[in-house]
Amino acid sequence: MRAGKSAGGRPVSRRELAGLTARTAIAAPLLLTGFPLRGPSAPSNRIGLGFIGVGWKGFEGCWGSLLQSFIRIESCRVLAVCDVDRRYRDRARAYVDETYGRRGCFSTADFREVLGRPGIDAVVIATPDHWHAVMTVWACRAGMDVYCEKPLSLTVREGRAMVEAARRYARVVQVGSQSRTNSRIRYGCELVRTGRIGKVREIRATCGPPPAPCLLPAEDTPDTLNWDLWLGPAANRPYNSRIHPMWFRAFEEYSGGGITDWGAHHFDLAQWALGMDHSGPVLLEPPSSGEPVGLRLRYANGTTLVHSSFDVEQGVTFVGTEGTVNLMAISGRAAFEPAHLGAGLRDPVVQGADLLGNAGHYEHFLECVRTRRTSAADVEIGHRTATVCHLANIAYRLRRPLRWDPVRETFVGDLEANRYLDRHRRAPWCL
Amino acid sequence: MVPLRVRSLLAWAGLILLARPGWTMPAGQDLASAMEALRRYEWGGDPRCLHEAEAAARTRPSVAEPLLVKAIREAATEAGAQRAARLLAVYGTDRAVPDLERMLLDPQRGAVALMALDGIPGSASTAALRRALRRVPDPLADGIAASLGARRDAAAVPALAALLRMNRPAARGALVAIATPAALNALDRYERAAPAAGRERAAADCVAAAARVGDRALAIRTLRRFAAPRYAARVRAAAFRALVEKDAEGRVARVRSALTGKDDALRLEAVRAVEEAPSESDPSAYLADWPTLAATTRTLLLEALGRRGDRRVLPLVRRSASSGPAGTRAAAIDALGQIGEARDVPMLARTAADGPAEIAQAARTALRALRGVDIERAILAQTEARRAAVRLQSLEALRDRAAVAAAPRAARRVADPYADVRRAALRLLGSLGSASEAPALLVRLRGTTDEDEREAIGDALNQITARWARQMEPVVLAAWEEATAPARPVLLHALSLVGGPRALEAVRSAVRDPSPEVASAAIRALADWPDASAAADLLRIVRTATDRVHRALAFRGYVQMCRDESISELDRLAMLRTAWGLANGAPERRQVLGALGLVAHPEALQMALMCADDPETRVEAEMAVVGIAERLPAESAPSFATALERIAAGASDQGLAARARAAATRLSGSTGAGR
Repeated sequence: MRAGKSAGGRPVSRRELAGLTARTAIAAPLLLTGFPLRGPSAPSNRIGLGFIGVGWKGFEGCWGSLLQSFIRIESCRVLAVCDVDRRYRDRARAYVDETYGRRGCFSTADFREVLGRPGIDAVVIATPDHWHAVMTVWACRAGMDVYCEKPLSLTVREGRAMVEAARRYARVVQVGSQSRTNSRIRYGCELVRTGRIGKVREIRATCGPPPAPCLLPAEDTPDTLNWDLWLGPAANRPYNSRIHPMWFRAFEEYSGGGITDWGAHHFDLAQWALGMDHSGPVLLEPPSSGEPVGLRLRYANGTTLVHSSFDVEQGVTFVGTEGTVNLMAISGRAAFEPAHLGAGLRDPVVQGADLLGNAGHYEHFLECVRTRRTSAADVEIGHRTATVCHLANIAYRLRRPLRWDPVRETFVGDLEANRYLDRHRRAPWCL
Repeated sequence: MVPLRVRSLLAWAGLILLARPGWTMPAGQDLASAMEALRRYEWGGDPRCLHEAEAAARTRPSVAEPLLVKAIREAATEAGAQRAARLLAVYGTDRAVPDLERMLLDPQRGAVALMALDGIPGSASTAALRRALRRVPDPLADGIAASLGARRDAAAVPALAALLRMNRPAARGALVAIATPAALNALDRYERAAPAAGRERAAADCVAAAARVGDRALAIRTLRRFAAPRYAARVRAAAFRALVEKDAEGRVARVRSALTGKDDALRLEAVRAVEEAPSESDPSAYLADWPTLAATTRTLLLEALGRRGDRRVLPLVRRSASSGPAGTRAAAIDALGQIGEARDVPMLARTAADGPAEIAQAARTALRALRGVDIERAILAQTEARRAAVRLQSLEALRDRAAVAAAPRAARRVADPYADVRRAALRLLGSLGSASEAPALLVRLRGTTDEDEREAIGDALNQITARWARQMEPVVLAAWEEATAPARPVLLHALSLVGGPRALEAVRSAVRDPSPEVASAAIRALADWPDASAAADLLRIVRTATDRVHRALAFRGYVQMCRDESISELDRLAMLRTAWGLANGAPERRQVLGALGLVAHPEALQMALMCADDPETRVEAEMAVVGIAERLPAESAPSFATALERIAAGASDQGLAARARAAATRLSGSTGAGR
């Protein structure tokens, strides 16, 4: 394994790789016996990947796209790409073939063909949110590990079903919360967790507003797009160009709006720093003004998480009795008050290894696939974070305080709110 | 950052949400009309009927519900039927179930009726779905099967088993979810009869169901079967995992057996089981075979124990950290970083100092990761260790831990006999020190002859001064009085951070110092002065300096002061006029124009315009013109609109052109005026 670029372009130092490789080398005898690769006749020790969804985040338009990040990693091999849009599918396949210097990447519009394909050990799911649960559960049943983009789910029940599938089928399922393997973010959260800013009085997390129903008029479907497959488990409706490829986020049938878009990052940091990765808030109080911002989420320990707006501030701000930490997901930008709290923050490249030894979110996933350990961004963590987002959307919708039981994962004594914990999925796309 | 267009769209979507019916009482149309409009609703149509219908469903459910059922049954459009079904899914009751059940058999309405029924909880809807399962066509049957599975409907197992025999994946998923003994038996029969291609999946489903089934004996029996070597690795792994959960009595023995066995799949699951064992159980019980475990297994276990965070295994971890293969030792040291105590610090510090590369790195990481109130005290003690390398590693760790309390000890280490330790101490003080530690720095500054060390001391001093300017003022001034020539350049920067008349006086006198190094540093200090009190000094240097570098520094510093918006605009304008007169060449004129752009005065605009025709300064002049025009009150300079239009027309930078056009419009007082 040579030193090169990690996901996102950050150079991976030889020392980091040495740390990873030594551990991996120790695990290598396990690989040579054919585990965890599927089948005793696996052609190489590389992990075979299938990409489901090679549009915006998957490949097409996003800095640090998943396909471009994974394909640089020596320990895996991209064997298949899948997208319901032929334009993206063809471009992604061409990119893979060109990168490897030979034709051979399988491409299809139907993800079921990826799940049934020999040699594929894991799938990377970067489709719109409404597909995440079905694809993840079906992939687990098919014996594949899963990297699933955030937000993990469209509903609370879907998230729980994904956790169940990962556990029952003994699969590694990692969510695309890249902050979880960012050393700067981890440093900031550790400061909060270890009480360096005193008792946390308030956390403010920025994200956009809730989604709205999709009532757009019908348009002609492009020839390149299998619209019925794009819809999948979502209710049937005609195509509109404002839905595909990336503005689906605005609509509740496919996503959780701005709440899940950046909330999946920023609420995640709040959960992490509070030690709530297996729990959640107990009370939600939407603003009486009806504004789609300002929701207050209270945790059992008394801390309040406030939904803030990008117009006011950026990132997540932890306000403690002895200091303040502000963190911005993805970029890893961190600010501290008093400033000396940031003295231990180093550029990961200079430091050589971050605090917990993970060398990038994607490498971490592959390491977990090899060693079968639980990911630092495990599906349960992703589910709990997505749940916070879904609860927020439900609270905004119903415009009244809601009590939540994070153990039972139901609203307390609220039949109406509980009816929003799941949604109907169009057959045959069922969990 | 979410692109602006997407943010706008999301904001728009949010506004739509605000208009939702739950937020205001419905007005206008009566409910019947709204339902009629809903029945005929088409995508992109007027959404008011949807709001009315939802408001009615929430506030008058007994009235709205039959109307919604009717809207589905008689819907003229699929959109209308769907919207009605979505409301019933949230607000429907048992009263709607009979009609919806009948609609399940309607090819036109079946899917929509299922959408509604799926959301209605309770035994009535469950029974309706169960009855319909064998009567509806295939795609719908899958949806019903999934719904029955989610409801854990044990009574549906026979019908689901029949679907399973027809190889319906939805039936498999439902039976796994229901997970009664009957469901498990159906899955088991299916697996035994499954063709080779599908047997692994069928086996995995059996394991998943067995993991959920309430009959513990049946579960254990089934899981044991699938943990056998003849099944695929992932099936064995899942079965093992479930067995560990189900069979508490046999857990320890099972895990121990897997850890010592040859089955890699089970071995990895066993490691995981150790990590995730209930917190009340002592993991040591699983590790009784430690001496006979393979090195790879030990390494994986140590990593898992670290993640588990259980201090009961500390003796084992400590032993592993001190001897054995490198990978195992490193894993043990990593684990110490998670669960270690203060007494582990000396070993970690020693290992960080001179262990083999991977192990030393693990030790450094562990020193930074250790938690506990006494940890920093323990690391502090290591700053007095006999070995320099240990002192060095300790200081670095304290700095990375942001241990402010370490600053006084670091101040002592500034006089350490070893250069590396001194540097580490200086770095720590730079990050964490305060005015209290400055005297130690100054003593060292006086005593050192090492140029690099002097620079490092200067860095630390400057960082402290930047944080604690007020407290550092007397310290720095006193040091200046006693400073020898080599130390003076270092202190001059600190003086510029301190500011104030006394510091300025000191710097002023240093400009005339016979040492060129001191004089240069003094001019740099003046150029970095925090306010305009040094302006006159800089001007004098510009006018009189014979050294080109000094002059250039002073000029730049002077112009930089003109950017200080606490100085009145007229004063800044006067300063910039002076600077303009002294500017030597285009680069310096460009500097002046850069500062001029911040002065909101018509004369400044005039000055900038005069430079717009000079190709060497045109770009900066235009930027200054636009910047000034944006700051001017509209009524103060309408005559400049034409000039701005000209800039807009000729600018290659589209952003600047747009700004110029906007400024022109504003100054001319109306849209299109002056064009």
